[in-house]
Amino acid sequence: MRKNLSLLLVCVLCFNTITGCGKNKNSDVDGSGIKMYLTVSKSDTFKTSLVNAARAEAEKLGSQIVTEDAGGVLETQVSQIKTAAKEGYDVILCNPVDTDTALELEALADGIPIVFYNSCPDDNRLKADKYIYVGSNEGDAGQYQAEYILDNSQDKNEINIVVLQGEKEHSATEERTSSLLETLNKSDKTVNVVFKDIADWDQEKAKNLFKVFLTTGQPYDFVANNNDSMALGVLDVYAENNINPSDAPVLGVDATVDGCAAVKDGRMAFTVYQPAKEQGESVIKAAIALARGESINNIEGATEDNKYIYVPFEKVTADNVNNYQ
Amino acid sequence: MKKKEQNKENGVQKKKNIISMKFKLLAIIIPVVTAMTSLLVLFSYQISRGLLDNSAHDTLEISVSKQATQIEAWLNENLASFGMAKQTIETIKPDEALLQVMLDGYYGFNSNFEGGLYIASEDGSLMKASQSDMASSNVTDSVWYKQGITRKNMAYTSAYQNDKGENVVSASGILVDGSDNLKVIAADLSIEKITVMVNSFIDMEGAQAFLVDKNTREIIAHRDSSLVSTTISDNSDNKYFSGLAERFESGEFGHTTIEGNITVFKEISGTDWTLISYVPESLVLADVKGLRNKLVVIGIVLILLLCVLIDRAVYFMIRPVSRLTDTITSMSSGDFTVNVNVKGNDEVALMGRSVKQFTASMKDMLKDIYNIAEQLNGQAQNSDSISSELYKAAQTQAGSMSELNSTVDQLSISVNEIAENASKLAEVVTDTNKDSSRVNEKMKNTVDVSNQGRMDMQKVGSAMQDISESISGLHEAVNKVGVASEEITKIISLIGEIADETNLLSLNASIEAARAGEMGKGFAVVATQIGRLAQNSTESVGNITKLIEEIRELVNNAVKQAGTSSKNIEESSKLIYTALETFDMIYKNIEETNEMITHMINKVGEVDEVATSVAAISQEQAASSDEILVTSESMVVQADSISDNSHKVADDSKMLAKTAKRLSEQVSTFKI
Repeated sequence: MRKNLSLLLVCVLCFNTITGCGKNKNSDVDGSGIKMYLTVSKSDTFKTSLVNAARAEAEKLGSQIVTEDAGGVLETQVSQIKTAAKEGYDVILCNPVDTDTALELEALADGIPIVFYNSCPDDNRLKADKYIYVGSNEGDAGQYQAEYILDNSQDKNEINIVVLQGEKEHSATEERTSSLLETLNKSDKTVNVVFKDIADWDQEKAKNLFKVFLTTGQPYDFVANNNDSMALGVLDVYAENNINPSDAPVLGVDATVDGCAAVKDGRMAFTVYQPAKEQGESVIKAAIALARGESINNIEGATEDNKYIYVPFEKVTADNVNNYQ
Repeated sequence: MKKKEQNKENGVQKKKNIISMKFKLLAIIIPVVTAMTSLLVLFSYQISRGLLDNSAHDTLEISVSKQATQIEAWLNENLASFGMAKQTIETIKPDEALLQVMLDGYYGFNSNFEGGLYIASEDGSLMKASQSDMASSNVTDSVWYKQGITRKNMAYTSAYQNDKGENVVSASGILVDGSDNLKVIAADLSIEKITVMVNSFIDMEGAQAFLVDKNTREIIAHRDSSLVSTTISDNSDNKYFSGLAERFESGEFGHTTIEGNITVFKEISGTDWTLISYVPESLVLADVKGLRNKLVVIGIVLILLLCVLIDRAVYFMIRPVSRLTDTITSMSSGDFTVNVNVKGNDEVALMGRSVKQFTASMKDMLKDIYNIAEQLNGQAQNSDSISSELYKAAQTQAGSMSELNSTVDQLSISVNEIAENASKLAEVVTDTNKDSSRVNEKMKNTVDVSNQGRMDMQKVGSAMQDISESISGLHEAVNKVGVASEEITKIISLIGEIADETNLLSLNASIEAARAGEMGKGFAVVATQIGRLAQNSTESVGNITKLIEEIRELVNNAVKQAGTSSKNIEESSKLIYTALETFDMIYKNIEETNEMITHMINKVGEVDEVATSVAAISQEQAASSDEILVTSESMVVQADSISDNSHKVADDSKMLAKTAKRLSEQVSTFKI
């Protein structure tokens, strides 16, 4: 009798799991009646498209969503989180101004689950099915850049590389740069980092820094940037100095509209598409699961520890850039 | 007593062969308990170890991240100072004199970078505080310059030895002052300061920390200053460092234990440095090992205690069983004198009580059997003696019967002789046919006598019947036979007298015949013949008397002999009855003879016929005697068979006696 009962339960569970899976894959998730509060640290092109995708997905699934911009100010974000907690939102979607404040944000949320996105807090600040991160694995972006560089320098023994980095405290900065350099160092080439500085994701800063670099007169084979904006800054300097981009290919990340245009017209050699739309949609799916007290393990890209949902990067070159415009 | 000792010895031997329940119980319980205790100890040790391991790791991680934060903060603080100075210079774009003043101003401004800022140009010139004794040769080849031209924002170089041989790191970056000359601005930080920070502020007792450049694997700071500026691979003979090198090679910086040291890695952001902190696992686990040892000792003590407890408990529980075992062992060897002490109310006690009851009932039963066997023995002996006697008696009877047989044989012969004589008498009587009147008288007398004889014969018959009866009632028969025999003797003597008288009569007849003269001459011859016949009769009677006497004695003997046999009376009776009937026929015959003699006396003329009849009757008598003989012989056979049967009875009795004796012996082996 008991055996039969447990067998029945197992069957029911299996059925639920299967149908549950199917629902997610068909984007057939029901998000009705869920109130979401989204905060973005500071809008930029990429984040804007991510937030727009998220909003569209939430509305499509029948959830209410409020989106706020903290303008890069920690205090603003803190007060936003307090508001969300006070007004009884079911789930908070947070792009933290400073990932180090994640613990404080979690405390302020007062038990409301949080989906962090775009900027990843420290692993030990995350908690399975409660405080999770949705994004792309930043390391992959750096690795893809390194792979492009190695593929295009097979005739060289020595590679001179310029690296322009994003904001110092940003998790993506650290991971993209370190995986780029690690991948390169693992190769049999001699890799010289002839310039490496922080340009805060910014085109203008990147431009100025690259000008400074040019004054050093160091040879350079590739310019790897943590994002497309900085790559465009470098390309501005190229244009001013009549430098042929094919002599020293410029690499970016994000495949923004400008970035893709640059790839298409042959100025930029390579970028990595960070799927803003897909990230936005995954953020909403995760938010619904957390709001319902369910696990994220059925959502595509979820890691085994139920702390991360990774939306994969895609390599973009002149060959496939039309797909991303 | 000896038997008991032997039993005991047997018991001991049996005990040697059997395995005690106590040892069986101990053999089961002790390994199980030991295994369980060991498992418990192992389990708790493993759990404690895991917990402590994790907690040590966490503590170490917290410690190392605190240190890293401190180092980062210190580095960033200095970097911020440098950046501010650089920003100032880049903003105001001072001329050389002003710049010199500014550089002089930074000298000694902060103890962290006492040497202040210095600026190198690509042409190899160096601007420094005027107080600084820094060597100014080959600046463009210096680490700080080379690394400085790879960035505008100041960042830390890898550690290096400056021209004074001090281990330093520099913060350096391109100075953008608007001039065409590429300039690098830098400031030195003493590694010693970092070393102090690395070696202090370790939260965990026994833990150590050191700083490694993750790219060059160079040790930047270490408590052992001899290791500073060497790389990890330089120290590959140290197993810890070689293990560490493997981690760097594989890029795995998670929770790890290298050569028994719990190790934690932490990257110092803004630099290529990795702070490594480690604590010997043995130190962390010292407490838990102590706990384990205590648990093991306690476990062993408890197991020993358990052994003793089980030993005692089983001893007390099994003691009644051992006693019962001894009792039953004694009982199995036939000793029921053992006493069973029963205490308690458990199964063993119940068993004990049952054994006690069994012993008691066995005792009673054995006693009964013993008594019965004794009685049986006695009875068997009795019947043995009785049957022996019976056998003897039967043998005697058989002997007697044989004798009787020969006697009867002789009787038959005698009767035959009588018959012959009677025939002769008949012939004589035929001759005396004519002498009727006197003979008639005389014959009348003879008939009377014959009648008397018949009666006597009847008496003999009844006497013979008495004999027959006396075979049933032995003593009476003896007497009666005696009497009857005497009677016969008397009768026979009477017959003798009659014969004498007949003789006298014949003499008288001869005298009368002589007186009758010529006429009496024939009669005289007849008278003479009668006299002779009478004489012959007398002789015959004498013979008969003798024979009768012998018969009497023989019968007397026979009866005496038969009297001893009591069991086969019936069989004998029948035979004797037949004899009696035969005798009766003799009597009848004698009676008939008497009648004939009467007839002869009455009708002398018919004496011839009578005599003939007498002869015939005598022959019949002879035949009867033969029958008696046959009967007697069958009696002999019977007597022999009695004897045989008696013999068998005697054998059976002996066998019975033996069996009874054996039973008695068997029973006596039990002690009750």
